[in-house]
Amino acid sequence: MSQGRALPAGGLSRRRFLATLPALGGLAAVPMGVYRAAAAGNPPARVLVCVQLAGGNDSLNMVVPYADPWYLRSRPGIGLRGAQLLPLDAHLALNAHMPELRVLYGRGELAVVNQVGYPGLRYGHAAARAVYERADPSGKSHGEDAGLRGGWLGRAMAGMVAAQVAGGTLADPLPGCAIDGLAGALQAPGYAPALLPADPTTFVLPAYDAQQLQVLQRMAALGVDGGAARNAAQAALATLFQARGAETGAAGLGAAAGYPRTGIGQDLMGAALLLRADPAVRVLTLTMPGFDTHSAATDHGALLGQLSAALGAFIADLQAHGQAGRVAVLVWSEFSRRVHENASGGTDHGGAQSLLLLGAGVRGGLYGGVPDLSPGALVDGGNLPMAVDFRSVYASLLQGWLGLDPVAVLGGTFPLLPLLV
Amino acid sequence: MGQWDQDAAWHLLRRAGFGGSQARARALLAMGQQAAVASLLDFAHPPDPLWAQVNPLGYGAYASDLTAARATWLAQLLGSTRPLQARLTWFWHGVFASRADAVGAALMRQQLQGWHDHVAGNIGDFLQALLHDAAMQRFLDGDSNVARGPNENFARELLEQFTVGPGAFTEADVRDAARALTGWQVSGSAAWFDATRFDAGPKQVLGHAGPLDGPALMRLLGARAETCRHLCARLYGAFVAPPGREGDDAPDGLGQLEAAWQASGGDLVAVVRTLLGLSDFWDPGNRGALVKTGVDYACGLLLALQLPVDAALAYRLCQNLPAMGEDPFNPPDAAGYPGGADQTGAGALVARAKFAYTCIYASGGSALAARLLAGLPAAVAPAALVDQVLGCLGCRVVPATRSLLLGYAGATPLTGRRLSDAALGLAFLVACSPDYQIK
Repeated sequence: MSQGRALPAGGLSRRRFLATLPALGGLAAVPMGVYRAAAAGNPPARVLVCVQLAGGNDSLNMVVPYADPWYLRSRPGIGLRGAQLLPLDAHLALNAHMPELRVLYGRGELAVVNQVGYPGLRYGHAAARAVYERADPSGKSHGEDAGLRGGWLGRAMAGMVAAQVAGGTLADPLPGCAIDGLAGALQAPGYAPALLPADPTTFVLPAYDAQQLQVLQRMAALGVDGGAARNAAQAALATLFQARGAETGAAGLGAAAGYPRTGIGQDLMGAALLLRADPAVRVLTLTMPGFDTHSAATDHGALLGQLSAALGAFIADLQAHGQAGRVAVLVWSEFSRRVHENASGGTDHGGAQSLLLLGAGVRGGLYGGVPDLSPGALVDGGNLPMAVDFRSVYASLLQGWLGLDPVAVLGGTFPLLPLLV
Repeated sequence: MGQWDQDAAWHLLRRAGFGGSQARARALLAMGQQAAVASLLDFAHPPDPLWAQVNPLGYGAYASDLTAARATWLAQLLGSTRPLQARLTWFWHGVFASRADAVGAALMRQQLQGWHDHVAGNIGDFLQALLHDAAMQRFLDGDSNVARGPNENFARELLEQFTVGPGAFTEADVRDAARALTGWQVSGSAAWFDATRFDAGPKQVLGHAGPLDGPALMRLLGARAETCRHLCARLYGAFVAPPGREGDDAPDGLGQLEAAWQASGGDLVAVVRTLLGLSDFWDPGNRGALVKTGVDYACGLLLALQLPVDAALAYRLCQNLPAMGEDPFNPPDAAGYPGGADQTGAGALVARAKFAYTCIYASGGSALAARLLAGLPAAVAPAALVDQVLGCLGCRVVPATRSLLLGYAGATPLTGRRLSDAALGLAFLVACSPDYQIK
């Protein structure tokens, strides 16, 4: 076998790779930079980590309106009381499975936004998830009257990249990465997120000989528009080679200590490694499954315990490495659950939810008021109505945290909340 | 139905089965297009011994071990004499989805064996079978859905995912459908109806009023035009092309599929026969329009390389499938397995490359090299070798990929050890290429 054409000195540079982009004809194949050393002199940018609690998180048993008499009346079996509560004030308490988050609240680094929803609440998993991912309650993703296209974070990333390309200042494509889960919020016309495994240290392509790696690296850089499916695979291969070369850097960061051996614990450990190793990462999405608690067969408290322990370890890890100030974590779900429990010891799909936002740059406290669980206050047959539009939270983060124009991403103006320091 | 050539035969193998070998593609080609399609649609005659056995690989902890259950099923797919029926079983498992993590491996195996029969029947009977399926009832809390406090889980997924689809029902429909589904219990591997737990009161679902029970609800939903539309769109998306881009009109083939469904009263074989005759199905523009799932990738590579799969290998492979993009028997939720770009993330690509490496270098080795080189002379020109390997894998590549493969193969004729090394090396490169991740 002869050698293939020699690679440029120093391998295929990121800038050279980007130079192939115009040939792709607008294809959604923005290359991702991961595990690269920080450019000297550039302070690392802020990062937004979004954790989706998939299945519909019962936020009434996470941020409990314990002073409302209708709470225990509606939930005689699964309602929390006494030592099962960690009070935040005279009305609301955290589930006692979440001591790490209670500590963060005490430090002023946890914001709780109650009664979050949108006009015309949806109660099916896919439809409701799509509303939050797309930041579009119209639900019209197809046809002439379609609303916004793609996911809200994908639109934000696409906008960032387009502005930098137009300005000739593209130093980094400001990547969004999805770790081991659903990436709907990050996918948009003009932007393809990096889909990464939870453990970045396993991120190594095998090869029989060095020449194979060279061929694959050149394959990753081909400027070919081969249709949407092939383009997605091409983007994945490109991501891989952006990641290679610095994987030793990621390994060199050392294994993080103190993370629980749960799915969400390992995913957050990977997220911490990733954002420490690559200063270009701006948005990370993660998914924690299991929240569709229709029956007692699923222990909601245990899930919240796993979440809290993993987030506690994540924040401590960031602090230990001087990263805490630049990372904010948003915890969301597709919906909350019915106020009344069912006969299975669980709850069916419900309405407005409580969102969590945590980090050293967050202005901790309670937002969105206290829910009223009295029957007359509920909508759609027993569900909590919305008081805060979720797009207000998105807009606040886009403008205040990522430094982007929320109107351009969300297609409208929403009142900002003072969620950030 | 378009030009019938080697590429079309491979297309049929990939879409209507789980792939195949070059020999299989040539055999189909020789049969002629009509006969090839008809042979795949014959769910009655060729015996399918692996599907008839409960534990063909002889695993010890078969009943409780999820990986053993997956490996058994993988062996059944790979060795099936009716690959389309196996493919359809897998498709309907992704539509009428349940999760092994919630119900255990044994109930999932039982469910798939049941679905394997129903894919050759009528949608009405299939929907009735959902009621009697222990995995389904347990996964969606049907067994704790009782008159005194209905649990809406099954009703909602039945409406949104399994029948009429999103937007075709109201919250009131969900509540009354949940009441209609009350009373079912699960004992061991059996689901049964307990009238004392059933809500016999009047209900109204999709405008239809009455004392609906589970069977009546299924009859109502099975006959709805929205069910036909929703499920035909699922079939089209899995077998023909992904859902149109935002703003596009519905493709012609979808309308033909719906017409076949309506005309046959939901005869699933008639619908699939129509599907395999659609000009959309054979349209060269739709070849490579779908992303291979992890199962597509693993089965396709094993069949193309003709690697023998014994109990140990099947078990090891199944441990790796989740990382390749699909966790068999464990769809994330009742919406089934996510398709599209999520299948080809960089993480999935690494897992696929590792799988290919194991297949080609650990399991394959010199015996595989000999198979890849079958029919070639002792000295082979690089271009001929590249085309031979692409032919064995049934992979079409863009010209730029072919150029890179040619560069790897070198400039002079190959012989001996260099030739067999190059054959294996090219097979690995093709398996890692973007061109091989699509079908």
